[in-house]
Amino acid sequence: MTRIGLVAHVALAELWFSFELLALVALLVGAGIAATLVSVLPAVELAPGGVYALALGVAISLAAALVARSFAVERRRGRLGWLAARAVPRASILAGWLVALVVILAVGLIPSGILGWLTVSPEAVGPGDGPGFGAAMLAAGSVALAAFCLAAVLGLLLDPLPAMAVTLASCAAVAALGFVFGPPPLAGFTVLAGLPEASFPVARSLRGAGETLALSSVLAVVALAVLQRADL
Amino acid sequence: MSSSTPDALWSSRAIGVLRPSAITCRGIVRAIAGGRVLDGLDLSVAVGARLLLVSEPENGASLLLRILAGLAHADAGTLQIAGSPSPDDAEGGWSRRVAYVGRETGLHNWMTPRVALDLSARLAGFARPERHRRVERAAAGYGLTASLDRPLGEAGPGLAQRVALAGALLPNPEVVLLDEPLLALSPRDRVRLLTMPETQCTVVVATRHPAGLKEIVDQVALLRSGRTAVHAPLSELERHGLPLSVLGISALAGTRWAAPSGPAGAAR
Repeated sequence: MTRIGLVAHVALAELWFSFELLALVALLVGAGIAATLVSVLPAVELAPGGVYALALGVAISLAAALVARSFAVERRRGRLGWLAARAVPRASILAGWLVALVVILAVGLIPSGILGWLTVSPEAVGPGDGPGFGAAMLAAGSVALAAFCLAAVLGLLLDPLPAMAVTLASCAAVAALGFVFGPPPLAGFTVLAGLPEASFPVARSLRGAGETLALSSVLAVVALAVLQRADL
Repeated sequence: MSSSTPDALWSSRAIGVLRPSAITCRGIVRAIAGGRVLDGLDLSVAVGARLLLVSEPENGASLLLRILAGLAHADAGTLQIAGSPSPDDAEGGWSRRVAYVGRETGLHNWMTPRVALDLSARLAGFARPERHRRVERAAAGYGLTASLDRPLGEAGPGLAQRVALAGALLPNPEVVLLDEPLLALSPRDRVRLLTMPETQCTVVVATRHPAGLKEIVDQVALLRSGRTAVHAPLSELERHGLPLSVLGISALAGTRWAAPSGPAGAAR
């Protein structure tokens, strides 16, 4: 097993034993469950896709806050230092953690997406709605990855509670900006909210996913720069 | 000449004459929150030396050890440890030559001693049979055999500290950096576990509680205002009738041993 694999294994084990893995998956799956339950209430005027997009956005923000806390705790308790003292490159430490988080994202988003589709599908009639929903989920996943990279930066810079608070505030700010200006990186959520009437859902979602993945890589580079300079 | 000394040289008489340095620091500067904790520090530690490091203010020695271990950066200056200026990523390289045990063990509560030791051996690049052999040997040496499969979170901090030390020493490193090690253990256990059987191993212990470490160190050094105020053989403390304490070492700084370069070679 490579060093990145070893770090990812340790990170997954830590998240599992600290119940944070369960919390992360529960948040993402919970978004699907919440959308399913809320959308059947007669008092809710929001479209089922809109409810799911909102629930998923909240879940990703909370999950990012948990990730920020994890990074802060790992640094403060000397666990990142333990690895670095054994000549594990800091880039491998960060990569291992991101691999672990991507695995958790996949585990959480797949059932969440299935529940979300069950919520949206009664109104979906067009042949392109299925691929559009899948592409929108991919875009939402890339937004989550960007949020986790931002959480890594903040977790490496701040103590656990401030890191969580700033991560939540940052996610809320990005969501607000997206609501006002509709920046392309949040296209996945816009498409989810607009299904099944959204126009060009696949193209818009894939474009948004690409832009968000580019943003994720920039944030990952920033996180690496912070980690390289950090006292572990 | 620096460390990473071949075994053949160790067996020759030349080692006593050449006195290679395991650790060399030149002009190390590090500022934290605007204040210079290390301010042009010079220090040289000979191979095989056992150095007790104390500092005024307290965090200087700890910071120096973390810089040496590659966990913190220096703003200026050069250093060399075990023949290398910085950690190299090669398996079987730095991770086998330099060991660091900090105040925080860095171990996860879910880990058992077996898992932690095996991970240490893996990261040091040992193959499976050798890993197994070293884990068993470390477990026996540090009294971990009975609790080898017990999660660290279920035991007290003493077990985690013993595992951290055992894991760090598992590859038989050339240089061992210990920052307030084994504080959770009794003084007797502490001294017993910190006694390094390897005569070739260079040990630097940073602590605020030096009393009781007489049997495991042969040199003392005091960092004051970010520089080496004194670096002397332990015997000099005894010669001046001073106790092995921060105050005693500080008092020694008023004697002729106050030379900043210190007696790295002569101290052995």
